[in-house]
Amino acid sequence: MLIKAEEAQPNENSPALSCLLPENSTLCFHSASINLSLYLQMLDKHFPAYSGNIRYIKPLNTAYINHEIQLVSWLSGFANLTLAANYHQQGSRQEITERAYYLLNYFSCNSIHSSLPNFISPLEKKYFLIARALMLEPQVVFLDKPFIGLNKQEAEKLREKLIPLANEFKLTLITNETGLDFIQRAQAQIIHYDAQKFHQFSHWKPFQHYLKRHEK
Amino acid sequence: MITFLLYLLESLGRWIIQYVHSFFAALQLSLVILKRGGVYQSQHRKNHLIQHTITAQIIFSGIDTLFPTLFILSIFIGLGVTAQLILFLQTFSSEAEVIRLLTKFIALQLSPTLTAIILISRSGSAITVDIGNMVVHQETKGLAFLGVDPYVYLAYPRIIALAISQMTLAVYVATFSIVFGIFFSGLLGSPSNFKYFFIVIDSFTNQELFLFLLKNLLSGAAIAGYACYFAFNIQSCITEVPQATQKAIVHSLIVIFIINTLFAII
Repeated sequence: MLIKAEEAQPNENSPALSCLLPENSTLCFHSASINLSLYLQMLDKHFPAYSGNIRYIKPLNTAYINHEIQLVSWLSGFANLTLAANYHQQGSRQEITERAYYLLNYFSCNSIHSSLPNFISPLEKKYFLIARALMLEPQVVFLDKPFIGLNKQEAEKLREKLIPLANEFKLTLITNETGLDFIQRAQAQIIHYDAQKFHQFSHWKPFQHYLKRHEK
Repeated sequence: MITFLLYLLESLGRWIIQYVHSFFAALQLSLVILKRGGVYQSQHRKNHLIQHTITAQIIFSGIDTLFPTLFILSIFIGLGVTAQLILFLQTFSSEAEVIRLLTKFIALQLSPTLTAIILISRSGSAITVDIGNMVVHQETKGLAFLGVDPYVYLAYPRIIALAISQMTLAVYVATFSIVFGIFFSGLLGSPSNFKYFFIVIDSFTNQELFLFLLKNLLSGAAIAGYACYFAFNIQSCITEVPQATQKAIVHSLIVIFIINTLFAII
């Protein structure tokens, strides 16, 4: 277990969240009625909880990516990738370069690594944004609405990259993707908001039963 | 009539208050940037990222500006100001007085001021637009989420680079203005004017040179400080970028003249 939330509210109008966020897995927040971005930002400590408590079991290296963040427009894709790692001196120059090429390979972006962000597609920008965060070897990655701005085909390609991400990089991936298809294929744990309460499900099957029961 | 005068006074007063507020806010931001940059560099001595950025900015602000812009400007200052002053003053002033005017006015006052004006229009505006666009497009937010301090990565190298560039370029412009001025005065007047080449070299005191370098360091830092201050204060609208650029240019021009005046009094 990495993060424990105990009746944590981002503001006075939002419902309280109590959950346990596990290691090395994919976790999806799911709701059609409330803004889940605030909860991701609260868990990533962008602001203190209005009430309740959020406890990091051990010091964590986290990364947060949402649709508002952009790459640095005057740096190439590769330079964007290595910027933060060079800034924090996360290894030697050779190690940083090797890790960058590994991530470019994972996201199939080798051919565009020297292109400027304005000359790549929205999907490729998402790849670079995620890869840039992964360069710092985070233990938890918060992906806030990762499929915004992508068409159906691009969203599917991104899903294929995100599903094995937690296993590949030994991290916890937390997202507020609302698509049930992604949740099922990723075999993600789910935190679902319904009837003014958050419910945590460790697997798709119990969540599916819950949805069927409440649809009736 | 009285109402109009009162309105003018009120506008002037309001402008002065806004300017003073901006001055101290920009000064505070510049000091914060320099402190954070200094702390980062002391903690990451082997990291060449910031040094590369400083070098790139010095190349853009210093080396690219020197030739041909400032070089041609120096020729015109030499021909249009220095040479004319020498030829005019020689008729009723002594050699010492001519040299004093060349050093005090051309080298120590006019050249740094014109250099700063060129640097404001060329580099100061570019810095405001560059950083301003990054703020509007949330690129700085992305850097902050990665733990990259935008003040350290974007602003600190620019302040250091512009301070160094202003200091170096002012020396070049002062030298070329004097040299070309004496040369043209020799061509247009009498060849005996070439004697000023040898006299002017020994005319600067150590204190004057030190104050000259300090003044230009402060001027360069002030130009970059204002550019960064107005750029980082842009909220979210793209139309604020040209407004911030205009404010940075105007405020930088005023502070340059204030710095020059203060150092002239000293």
